[in-house]
Amino acid sequence: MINSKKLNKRLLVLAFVLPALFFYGVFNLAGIVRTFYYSTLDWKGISANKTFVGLENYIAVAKDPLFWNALKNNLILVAVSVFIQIPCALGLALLINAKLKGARFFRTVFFMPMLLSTVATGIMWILFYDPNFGILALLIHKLNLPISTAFLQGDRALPSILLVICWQFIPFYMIILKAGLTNIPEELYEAAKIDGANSWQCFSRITMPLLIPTIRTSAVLQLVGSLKYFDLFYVMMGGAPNESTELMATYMYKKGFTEFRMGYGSTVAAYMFIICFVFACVFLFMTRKKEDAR
Amino acid sequence: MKKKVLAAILAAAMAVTGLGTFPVMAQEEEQIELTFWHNVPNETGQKVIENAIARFNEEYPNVKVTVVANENDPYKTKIATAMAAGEEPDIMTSNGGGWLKTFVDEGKILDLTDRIAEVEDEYYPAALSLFEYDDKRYGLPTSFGPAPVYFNKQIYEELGLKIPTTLEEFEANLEACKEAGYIPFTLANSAQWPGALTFIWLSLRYGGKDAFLNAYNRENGGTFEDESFIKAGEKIQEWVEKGYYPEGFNAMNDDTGASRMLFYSGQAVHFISTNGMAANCTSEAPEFYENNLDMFVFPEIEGGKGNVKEILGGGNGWSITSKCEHPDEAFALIHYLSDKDYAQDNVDLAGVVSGAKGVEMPNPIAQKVSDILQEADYVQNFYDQFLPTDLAALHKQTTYDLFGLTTTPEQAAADMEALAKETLD
Repeated sequence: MINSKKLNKRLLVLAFVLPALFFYGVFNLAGIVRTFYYSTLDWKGISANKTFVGLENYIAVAKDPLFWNALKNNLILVAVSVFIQIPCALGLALLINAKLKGARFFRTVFFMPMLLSTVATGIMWILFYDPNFGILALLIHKLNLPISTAFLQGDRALPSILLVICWQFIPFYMIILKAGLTNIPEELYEAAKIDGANSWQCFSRITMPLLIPTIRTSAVLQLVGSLKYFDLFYVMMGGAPNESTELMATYMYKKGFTEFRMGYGSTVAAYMFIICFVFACVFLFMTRKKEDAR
Repeated sequence: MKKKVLAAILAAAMAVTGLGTFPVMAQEEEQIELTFWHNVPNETGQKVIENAIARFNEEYPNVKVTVVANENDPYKTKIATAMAAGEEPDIMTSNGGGWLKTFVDEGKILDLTDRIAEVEDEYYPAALSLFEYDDKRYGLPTSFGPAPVYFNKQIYEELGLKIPTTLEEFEANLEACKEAGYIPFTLANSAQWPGALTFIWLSLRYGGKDAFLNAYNRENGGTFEDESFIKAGEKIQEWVEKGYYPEGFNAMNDDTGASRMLFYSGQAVHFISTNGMAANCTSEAPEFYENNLDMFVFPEIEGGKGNVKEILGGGNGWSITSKCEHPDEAFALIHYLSDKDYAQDNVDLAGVVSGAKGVEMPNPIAQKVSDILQEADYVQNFYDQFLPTDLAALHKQTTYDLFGLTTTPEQAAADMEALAKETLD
């Protein structure tokens, strides 16, 4: 009786999981496996003509300075995401969580950038950054500032795009952190106030510790998202990012689809997978230890 | 990571196909269906295609043509993906050159040599040559034109300038524009190919057509380190340093019109661009087209090996894929889509000059394009279309770096030669 009930339950669970598992398997797992298979080939991506070259691609990518440069840019993106976006998002979350007048209005306004599609965001910012007709160029000319208006060029391209990424993603993490803040019971603050805690103590002793799991989740999302980031860089650099703005994903795309070196591109993808995987594991492991210690 | 790329491609593909699919119906005994992918982005151009298909259907009422319009850059990815999956259309468009050759080498494109031999006389040989490899032909041209130096003739009048016949005169004009407070050249180089046009013109004039062909064919001691390529790089950097280009041009986006805005608004005087520029101008700034737009062929250089009969240009054409089950009908269709009637329609409605002979030019600009083509005895295709894909990418990257002053002409040439040794030798 009990056994058949258990079996039924298991079958039910399986029935619910199966569709998701099917799509995950076909579109994710199979893709990953095939990527590793392609990465061992010398293949143009369109022909039946595939030559097995073993680890040759892996050695070539490891020796490719452009790949390491792309990885460096990805790491800069990770650093900016984790150390700038999350503190800013936290600040905004606290702000809209405070019982101020118009908090609701500001919550909507702050969230707006997240609602735009990435391509629209990219094109909008290209126009903002336009060196001759852009709104920023007009401001600089009006104020007679001695600054060049070439925002997306040379060394300034990367910071300019990073700014747009912050602008787009801070609202997302703001909402996640806001949800975390809402989950902290009001009684804790009341009790602390009765014990004579000031606002800083409330923040550092109650808010922060209880928010850590949410922040950790955000940081993992940021980490993996930044390592595989593609779209804004592709859109804003006219589909052809240069050394200063090349990411691993755009480099993979360039090799695979523009230069028809699908084997090489797949190897870059394989490296990306390994790097993301290792980073995520190490990060989760490190933060878990801390929690256990406490 | 892959998923995201694929999603972006699919989204782009769906957006475009959603807008562009329209079946042309016909009722007859044996029903045949042909799929046809093009990348003509504007309404007038699509009207021209519709008209040609209507004429085709008068003769072949049993053929249903399914047309899919695509944007240029997503199109290239889409076709490569479709080829890999064996889902390519019967008829596709390309700019010929190294990109199409990749597919030819894989046996994906139908050899049209015998079929084209029957209609050869209707087209300019230079236009047909875009789709020719090892004496075999793989396509009929649908648009064809030079990439001249466009200029604003009202500013020329105002400053009392003449059309230059030598580089020296050209540079004097540029200096005069600069002194009068104009930007001598407009350029939006973020996609890297717009600036490459200037590089090709300069190297074509310094070294003549043979400098490039020898380097590409690895013949007669030709290399990509030839002094003509180095001199072209030096001249570009000289112009950049003199401030002949707009502020931040290497980051401006040609697709969103950053270069054309400066040109149309009369802030910049010259614009080296493809034949698509004139077509854009008819719809974006018809008054400018009528009153201001004019063009000349890049002037000769004193002591250079090139002459004014060698021009830079390119075009589009239709090819038939190997998997097409009805090559006779498909060839008839691409003939309808490139013949004299089509070409006339194309220049009248869309302002685009095609590869077919015997067309009457409706306005002075189109007439000038046609004259330039007829006077030319050699048309150099854009290097990035002509070269194999990885070398093409490096060519764009190195010229971009030349414009950005982040490499030297010698280094750019050495980088090209190093990769050429790997891929061409």
